[in-house]
Amino acid sequence: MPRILILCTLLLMLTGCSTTTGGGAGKQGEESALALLDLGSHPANVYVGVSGPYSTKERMVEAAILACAKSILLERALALDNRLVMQSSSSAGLLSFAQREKAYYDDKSLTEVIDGLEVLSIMFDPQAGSVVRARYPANPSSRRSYKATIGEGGRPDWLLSLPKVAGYRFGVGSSKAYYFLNDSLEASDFSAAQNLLDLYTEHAFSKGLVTTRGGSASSMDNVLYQAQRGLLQGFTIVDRYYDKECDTYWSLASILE
Amino acid sequence: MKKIVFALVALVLAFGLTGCASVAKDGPPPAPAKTIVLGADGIPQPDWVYKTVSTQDMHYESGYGKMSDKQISIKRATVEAKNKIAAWVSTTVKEVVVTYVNDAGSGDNRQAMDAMESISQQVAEATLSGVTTEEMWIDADNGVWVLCSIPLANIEKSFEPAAEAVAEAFVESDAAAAANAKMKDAFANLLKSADR
Repeated sequence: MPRILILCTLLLMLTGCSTTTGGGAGKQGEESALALLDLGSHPANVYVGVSGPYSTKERMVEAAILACAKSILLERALALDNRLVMQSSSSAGLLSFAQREKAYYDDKSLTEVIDGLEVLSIMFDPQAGSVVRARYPANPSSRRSYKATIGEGGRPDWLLSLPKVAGYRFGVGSSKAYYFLNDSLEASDFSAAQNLLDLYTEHAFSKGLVTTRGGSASSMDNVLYQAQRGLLQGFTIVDRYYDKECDTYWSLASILE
Repeated sequence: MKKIVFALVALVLAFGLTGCASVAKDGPPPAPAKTIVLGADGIPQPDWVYKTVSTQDMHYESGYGKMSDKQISIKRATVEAKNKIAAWVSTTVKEVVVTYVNDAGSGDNRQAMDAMESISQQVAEATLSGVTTEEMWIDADNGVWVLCSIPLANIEKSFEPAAEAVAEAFVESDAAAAANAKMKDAFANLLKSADR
């Protein structure tokens, strides 16, 4: 009898351990959290918002609804500004590659957008916090720009080559994993927006200065300053992918051409 | 006798065949096999990596970047390509400036030279609108190559305000209007010829 008791206690302990790993900070958890964000089967006027963990469920849902509304405003217009300085010399190679990237959106109508949202579902996840899916009837219920397909090795095809769909432009962004999932996703989405700016530049200012020195110790220094800006319209996150091996988040974004 | 005839026929046939073979040897040599460079994910190296691409209405430049990750490598490659486009525009405009000064016969006029230099800078700064990344290729070392394009029409549009400024600045000169028109023509021609 005591042997059976000890066995049962051990079994309970082991079960307890596995539950914590599976639902906590495990890599499986991050993948399942991303699956909750998939809107592939919904029309384009359905949006998803992620809160990240908060102390109460109410706060989480509130933050997720706010995130949902924010994605609608980002879709309307997202202004980007990118400044870069690069310095290299013939003797030492690349000396610096520094950049400052900024994004702006108009949040004046945030309250109005939140009022217009129809919440479809609310889910909770240890990684994502609350995940809210909501419809915004003011936007047309059209088809999504692209349906992601999985290639060899379980990686999405868009990681290999950018999709080509008439009327849309695509960009890919990535970010290392931050402590909170929502921070990782935001960084990855922002990187995708900047990638869109790199791939199509509305306006760029480029100024390079090359200094050549002659004589016995001849050398060449190259300083380049480049600034670019653009206004993205129809900015939408089409798909996401989490690379377990590199602990990196990837986002595929689209804009209207 | 039959044996001799048979041997003769065999000899004639053998000569005939040898003749055919020598005709074949004189023909064009087989083309050397083209080396195919494979990049990451087994994608062959596109021609634009080592060849200049040109069309009538677009200017193309390639850029290369290899940094800590793919995203930053793309950024560096596009920065390089855009800088090449900017340099190309600047060079073209400088050539126009030289042509203008020579045509007007005012090579010693420092005031005119300074004004033109200043205008050429304005053009170089304002022209990069609508730069698109057309193609991308990642080599076996994970270095990123991009091919960027800019419509020539965008460059010409940017040049128009500068040309008007020249006309205003030299309104008192008799040669200004004619030289300005010549400069515009020269610029349009250079854009066409420089891209070939």
